[in-house]
Amino acid sequence: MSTPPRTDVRLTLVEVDRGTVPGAPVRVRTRDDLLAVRTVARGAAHAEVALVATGAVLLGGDHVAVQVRVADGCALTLTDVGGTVAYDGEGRPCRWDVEVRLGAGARLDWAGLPFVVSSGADVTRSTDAVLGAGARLLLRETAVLGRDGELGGRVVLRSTVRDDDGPLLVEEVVAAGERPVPGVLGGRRVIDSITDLHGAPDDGPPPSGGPDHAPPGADGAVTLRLERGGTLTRWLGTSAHLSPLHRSHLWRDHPPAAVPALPDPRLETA
Amino acid sequence: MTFLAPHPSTVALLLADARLPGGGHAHSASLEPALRGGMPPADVPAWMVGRATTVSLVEAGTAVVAARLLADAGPWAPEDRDAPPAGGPDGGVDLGADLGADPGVDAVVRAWAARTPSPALRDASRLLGRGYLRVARTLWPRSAAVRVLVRHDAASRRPAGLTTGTTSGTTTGTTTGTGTLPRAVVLGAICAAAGMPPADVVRLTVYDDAQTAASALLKLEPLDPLAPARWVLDACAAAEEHVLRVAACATPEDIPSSGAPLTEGWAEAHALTTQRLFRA
Repeated sequence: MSTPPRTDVRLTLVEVDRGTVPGAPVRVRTRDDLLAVRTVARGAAHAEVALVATGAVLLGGDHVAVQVRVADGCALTLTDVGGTVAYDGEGRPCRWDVEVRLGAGARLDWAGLPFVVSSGADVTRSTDAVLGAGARLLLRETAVLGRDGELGGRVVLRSTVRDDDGPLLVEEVVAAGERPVPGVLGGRRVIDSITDLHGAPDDGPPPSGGPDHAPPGADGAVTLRLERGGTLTRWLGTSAHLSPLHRSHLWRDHPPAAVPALPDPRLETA
Repeated sequence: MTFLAPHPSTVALLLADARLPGGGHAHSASLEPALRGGMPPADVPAWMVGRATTVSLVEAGTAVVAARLLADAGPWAPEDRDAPPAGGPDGGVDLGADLGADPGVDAVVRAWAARTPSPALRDASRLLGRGYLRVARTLWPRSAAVRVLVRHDAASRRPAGLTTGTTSGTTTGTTTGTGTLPRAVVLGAICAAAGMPPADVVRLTVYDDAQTAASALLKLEPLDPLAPARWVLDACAAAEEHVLRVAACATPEDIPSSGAPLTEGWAEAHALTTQRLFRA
């Protein structure tokens, strides 16, 4: 090995808080590491922030941690500037842990770019989110087994989303490019998903989810209506660019930039 | 009076026996949806191994945690054999009319539901749960564990506004709490009533799922009936390395969450078809 192994946790942090005086732009606190945080825009209740890789990630032994905190009533739009490649770790596993904490009425929109698991990589990617009352989480996650011509390595995709009333979604999908399992991903290389979840309001019933069974779209995407409201829309396929989720109504109906109802929508560049 | 209880292994045999009228015959353990969804029949053995090491463990962990929780409800009361059956006066458990949904049971059902994102699979499991609850209340009417569930089930079916439990999630407009109990939770109560060791609860769950698929396969694809029996054993053998880990689950958070996205998608499509042999 030419480079020394990296085993420590590399923490990237984004925190959005209310401005100090009414009408002032939200405060964005950040910490850079393997990912750098660039504030793109700030408004009275909304910030748009980009995540940029500062070097080669993910290598064997890397442990990237991303913490995202959005205070009560604030909204954050996160964008990835590039996708992520988990490289052959030569036997060393790596981790990518995202922790999301949304305050009451807060909102996070994160249209993640593809996460590519090269042959030889052994990655655990986890998303752990806690939603405050009435908070909303809209998350796109795309995992791709293998770069062009590769079968791909092994990946554990773990999601835990809960609110004050308990778990909303707890899921672990394990896939290995060289050992496809029928019923899990079969031979599909791409698992593309949009998670749209709401924290239960302080009182009253949870938002109704519409009809229980949504017919699978003609494009092959399936929308699962979760027990406590919210949806998990998923597409499994052979190539990320073929995914119908690029055109998902979830993003179309709520284009991230227009999402938060800003009392004072003046945006300024940081 | 000496009270004779069957050995837990005998109860496991009974529960795994397709001749027990529990409603399982209407289910294919997701096999029909998989074949209708385009999975080649040649993939069935590997698919069965996949289930035994993913979604079956979610069910198994749910049953184990439910059994542990309900074992705490108190023992079977031998001196109470002649008492009226469950739903009547107290047989070791407080059956006060105002005590509705059990918060512990609710937490297990919520953990299971959060790990079962497909509504079609949740519906199928609840349908099986209803049949299993009939088995449980008929065969173990005085078990404290079963009584807790019977009471919980009754509370969950009460119209909204009448339940005093700590519930807020809804599945339909007519129930409160976590709704009809899924099969795994009812299985947990039976296992608690029978005193079944947790590792056997896991093996029973995995075996039952695999055998349900194997039996359904013979109705969907003609083949040598002994071939799927081999695959059942292979699937159970593949799950064996997970048995102790799942048997050790003690809290709802411990329950495995290993999912099978293709299976979930197939289940949704199947739930909307009219031409099918099996419910799910």
